[in-house]
Amino acid sequence: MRNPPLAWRNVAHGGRRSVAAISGAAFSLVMVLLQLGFLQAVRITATNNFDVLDFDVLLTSARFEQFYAPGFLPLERLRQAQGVATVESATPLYATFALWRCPPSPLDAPPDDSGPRPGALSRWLSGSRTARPLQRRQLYVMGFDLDHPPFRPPIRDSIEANRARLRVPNRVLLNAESHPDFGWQVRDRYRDWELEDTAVEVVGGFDMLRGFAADSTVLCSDDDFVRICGYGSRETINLGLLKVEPGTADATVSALRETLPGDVRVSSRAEVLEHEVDHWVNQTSTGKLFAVGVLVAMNVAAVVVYQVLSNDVREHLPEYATLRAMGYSTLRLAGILIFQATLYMLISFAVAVAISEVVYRATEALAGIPMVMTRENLALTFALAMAVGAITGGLTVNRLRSADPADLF
Amino acid sequence: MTSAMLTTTLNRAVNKPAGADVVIRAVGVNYAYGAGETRTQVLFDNHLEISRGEVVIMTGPSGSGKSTLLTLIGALRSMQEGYLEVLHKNLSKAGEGARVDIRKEIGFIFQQHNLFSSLSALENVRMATALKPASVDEMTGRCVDMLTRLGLGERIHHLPSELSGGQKQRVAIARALVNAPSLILADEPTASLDANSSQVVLDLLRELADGPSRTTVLLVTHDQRVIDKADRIVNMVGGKIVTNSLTKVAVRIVRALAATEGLVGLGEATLSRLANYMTVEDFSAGDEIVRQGDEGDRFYIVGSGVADAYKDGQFDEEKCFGESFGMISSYFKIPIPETVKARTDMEVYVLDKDDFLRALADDQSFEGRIRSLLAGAAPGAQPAATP
Repeated sequence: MRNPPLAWRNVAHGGRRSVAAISGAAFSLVMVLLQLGFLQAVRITATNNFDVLDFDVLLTSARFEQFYAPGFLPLERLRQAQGVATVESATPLYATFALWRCPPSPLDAPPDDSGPRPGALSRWLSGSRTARPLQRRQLYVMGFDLDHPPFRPPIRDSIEANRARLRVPNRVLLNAESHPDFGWQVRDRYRDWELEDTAVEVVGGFDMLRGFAADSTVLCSDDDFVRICGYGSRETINLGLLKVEPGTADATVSALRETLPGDVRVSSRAEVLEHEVDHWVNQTSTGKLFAVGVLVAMNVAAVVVYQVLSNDVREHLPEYATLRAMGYSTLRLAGILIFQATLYMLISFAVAVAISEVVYRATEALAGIPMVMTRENLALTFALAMAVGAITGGLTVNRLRSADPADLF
Repeated sequence: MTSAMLTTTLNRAVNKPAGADVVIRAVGVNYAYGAGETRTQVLFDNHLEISRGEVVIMTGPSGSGKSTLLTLIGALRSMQEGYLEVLHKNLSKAGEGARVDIRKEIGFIFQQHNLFSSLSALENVRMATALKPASVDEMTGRCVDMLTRLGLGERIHHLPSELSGGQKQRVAIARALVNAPSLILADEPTASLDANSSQVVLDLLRELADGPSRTTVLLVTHDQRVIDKADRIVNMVGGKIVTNSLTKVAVRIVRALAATEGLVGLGEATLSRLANYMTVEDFSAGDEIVRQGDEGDRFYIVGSGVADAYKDGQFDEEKCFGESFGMISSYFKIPIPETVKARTDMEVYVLDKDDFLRALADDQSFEGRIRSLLAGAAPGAQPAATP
């Protein structure tokens, strides 16, 4: 090696100081990766709801905000859309929030309804085993024409497997990924399900990612949906799902925008997905919240590393002063300090990735949200870590001003 | 100001101008810390010339300004007033970049070893070679050679925590010397070394000064063992260079003083201080050095050769190595008590009236010593009421 590995040796022989720097910075980077993971989960859940639906073009109300607040549009618009030559099919989807009667836990000896409710921590730790009285919680309900279910496999497969049973009124499919409170785990032992004010029967399940807006979803026939959710008729729908001839999506969108009145919004699949991500990430406070979280975490990392590095320099001032006396320029010493800070961040990054992987899996299991460590997020975190290393190393150079070689004589 | 115009102020015979290749030239150097009301001047009009290949010892009490002067010569501080040239580079107006560059030509040895605890002995020395990069093998070879010469060949891969204090200091010395600097500035380099290690280091410094590189060595030290290796002693008091003596002449004077009857028992440091006040004069056989009855203003001590003393025209005694004669009549209120003529060619060490009074100011017991010296020659010699 051309130059002695001073920065590396200072890290390796730093003892408790290095441990403090690395653990502090690693903790901050875990926070960063978690924030980015949550943001990624928001993106995934935002698009996942549409990913399970089978459509090329989407008709919504002109006041459409996002999947869970779609607004209303007349069924007539679907019939009008079918008048466009390239439209192969048009399927209505009814969707709204409704109250669900969650089974008590444990089923055979539920706690007294008037008794104290378990705290957040015990609920979080116990999960589905938390003792709770019978309660009603909101979930998302989607109704559709059983003969033309607008879903992609595997949800379509689940519907077709239970199609005959769903034709009997007041029967539903419950999301197998639901929060434990909604009772999927006790479906075989519990019979007193209710959706809004209607007793229903859970005849099967399907797999759909949970989102941030709804902890559970049920599917039912359009007839049941209209009756149970109080829509009055099937003429008012929430989403219109169109399949078009291959390669004509953009042309069909243009044609529909010319054909349909202004109370309906026509969007291609790509536009819908982009709109949904934009809504959750940029229009709500979600994106800003996580961005602030990343910023704060990186500042914490910077402060920790700066403190450790500053103390390190302060304790070795005579050594650095000697280097200056020997002819080391401030720039050259800055290089050593920046490299040392970067090493701290590099090791912290590796540690943080390993810890985050565990935390991601735990969060996924406990919260039921998809936590994916993407290459982009890893690259962003790595870049932030290196930037923090370079900046803190650079800032620590100020400390070297105290290392006056003239004081050595 | 050009170097040709520069001369140092030399006011004693033992002072000797530097050789032709002057590598440190200081003229009228002043320095002060602070500003305004807190301004404290620590260097006053200092003049110094040191040649290539000289080993120079800088002495002086704490606060005498020697460290400040050393930091200026080492380009560790910027100059304020005066002219300073080091290794043929004018530091009077040098900026930070120029000073950093010249420091690469200087080997610094500090009292503290200042080794990085995380680096091995070899790597600490390699921190110096990194400033003058060569191939890795060549740099490592130089470091290993230097550490081996300093007796650390078996411990090159040890961390400082695994070395003794003396070994750490030797690593620091190796770090200072490994790039074969043109100038070495050292602050008590042997303070933490045992006798053997000190000898090795001093031999090495002397060898560098005498070798083909003719390295100049400037040491601040109170180690008497170093005197044997030095060419010159610079003594500072109160921010000013008061003596700048050639060591070999100084050693001869000290030896003569030590042999002087009335000064027996004085310590080496006191004799050295006294020697700093003395000048050297040469006389040829037959020269009359002092005449009985004249008003004298000098004391003499025989360094070499033999003189004859006459009282009232009659031969009285011969004056040999370490014997004294002469008189400062205005102080002791008596004329010269005897005539002294050189029998052979002589080297005589002389203390004139002004330097006698200075020496007296340094050490009041000195007067008694001189009086006892003179007792045989001039009984009843008394100091003047107001010298």
